[in-house]
Amino acid sequence: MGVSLPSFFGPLEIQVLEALWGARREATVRDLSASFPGVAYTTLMTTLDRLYKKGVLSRRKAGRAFLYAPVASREGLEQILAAEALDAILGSFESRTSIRPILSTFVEAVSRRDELFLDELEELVRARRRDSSEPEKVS
Amino acid sequence: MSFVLLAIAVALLVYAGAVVLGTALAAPLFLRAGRLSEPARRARLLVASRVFPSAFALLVVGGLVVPAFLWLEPRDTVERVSGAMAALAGAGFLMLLVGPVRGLLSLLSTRRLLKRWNGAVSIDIPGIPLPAFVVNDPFPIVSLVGWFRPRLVVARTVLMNCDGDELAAVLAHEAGHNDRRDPWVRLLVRACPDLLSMTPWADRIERLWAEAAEQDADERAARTGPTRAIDLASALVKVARLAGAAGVGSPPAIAVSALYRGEGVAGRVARLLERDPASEGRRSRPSRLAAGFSVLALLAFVSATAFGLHHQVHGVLEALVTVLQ
Repeated sequence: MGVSLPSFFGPLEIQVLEALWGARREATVRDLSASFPGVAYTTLMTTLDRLYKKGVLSRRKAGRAFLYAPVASREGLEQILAAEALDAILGSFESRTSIRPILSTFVEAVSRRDELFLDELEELVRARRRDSSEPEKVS
Repeated sequence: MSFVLLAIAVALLVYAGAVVLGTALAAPLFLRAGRLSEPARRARLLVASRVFPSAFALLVVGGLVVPAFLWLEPRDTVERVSGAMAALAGAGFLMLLVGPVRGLLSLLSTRRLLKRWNGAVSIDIPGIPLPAFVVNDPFPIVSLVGWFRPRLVVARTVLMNCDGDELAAVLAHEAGHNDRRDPWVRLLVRACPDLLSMTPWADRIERLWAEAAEQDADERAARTGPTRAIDLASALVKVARLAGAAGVGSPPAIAVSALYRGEGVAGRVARLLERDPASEGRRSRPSRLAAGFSVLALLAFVSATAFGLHHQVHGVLEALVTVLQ
C-alpha cells in the first residue's frame, strides 16, 4: 500500500530525499549543495536536520560535518507512512467503544470516586466476613 | 442486467425500510430492559433490542422479498432503478456495511492487543477450560480476550496480591463470562448491520449490556460457593487498589474517553455484599435468541410459501417500484 510523499513532506524535503536516494551513499550538506544551486547552504542544512528529526534520515558525525542517509528506500518509506496513517486512523477510532478490542475486564476502570471508597469497602468486606460463620482471613 | 440491478436495489431499499421499522418495534424491548433488576434478563433483553432490527430486516428480505422477486418478476422487466430507489438502496447498503466494518475493526484491535502480550507465560488453572496467560502489564488486568477462542489474561500483580479464595472467585467470574458466551455476544452486538450502528446509541446499548453482563458474571461467580460473594468483593477491592497504585485508570488499549460508566467498583462490591442468598436457586435460562430466530425464519418462509404470500409481497414490491419511478 503506497501513499504520496507530498502529503507528508514539503517540496524541498522531497527533492533532498530524491537526491539521497539517487546518490545511494551517505552525503554531507556540502555534497548535496552542488545539486541545489538556488538553495542556501543553511536552508539545506536545516532541511536535512528536519528530515533527521522526522526519523526519515539517519546521520553520523564525520569530522566536523554530519553524513546523512535515508533510513528506507522510497517504496519502504511509502509503506511505513501508509501504516502510520492507518494506525492514526484506527487510533482515533479506538476511543469509541465500537472499535475497542473484544474483551471483558474484571475491573474495567477505577474512578476517583471508587478510590475514595476503597478503605470503607475493605472494612465492609472484613465486617461481612466476621458476620459470616467463616473464620477471619488474614490478607 | 436491469433485472439484477433492480433486484439488488429492491432488496436493499426494503432492507433499509425494514431496519427502520424493526428499530421502532425494538424500542419497547430496550425500555423494558431498563426496568429489570435481574442482570441476566436485562442483558438478554438489551441484546434482543440491539439484534432485532437487523434480524427482522434480514428475515423480511431473505424470506419474503428476494424469493418473491426472483420467482415472480419477469426476467425481461422494463422497470429501471430510479434515482430515488438508488438513494434508498444506498442507505440500505450503508446499514449493511457499517456494522460489519465496526466488527472487523474490533477484531483488528483485539489482534493488536494480543500481539502486545506475545511474551505472556501460559499457565494451567484447574477447573478453568480456557487457555490462560500471565502478563506483566502495569494495569492489574484480569480479562477474557478474543472471540473465537477466548483466552484468560491475568496480570502477575493480581496473582501475587490475591489469596487462593479471591483468585478462585475472580476465575469463576471470568468463567461466567465464558459460559455466557460474552465474547461472541459482544461481537454480534457490535457488528449489527443496522441504523443504530451509525449513531451513538450503538455504543450506549453495548455499555448497558456490558454492565449487565458484568453483574451477571459476578452473580454466577457468587453462586459457586458459600463465601464466594465476599471473596469476589474482596478481590474487586484489591484489584481496584492495585490499579490505583499503578497510577493507571483504565486497562490497556482502552482510551480514557471510553471509561466504563457503569456502577463502578463500589457499586459492584456493595451489590455482592448485600446479595440475597435466596437468589442462589434462581438461575436464568440460557439465551435462545439464535434458535428462536432460526425457527422464526423457517416459519416465515414456510408460511409465505404455503399461503401464497409471495404473490402479495410481489404486488407490494411492484407498487413500491412504480411509486419510486
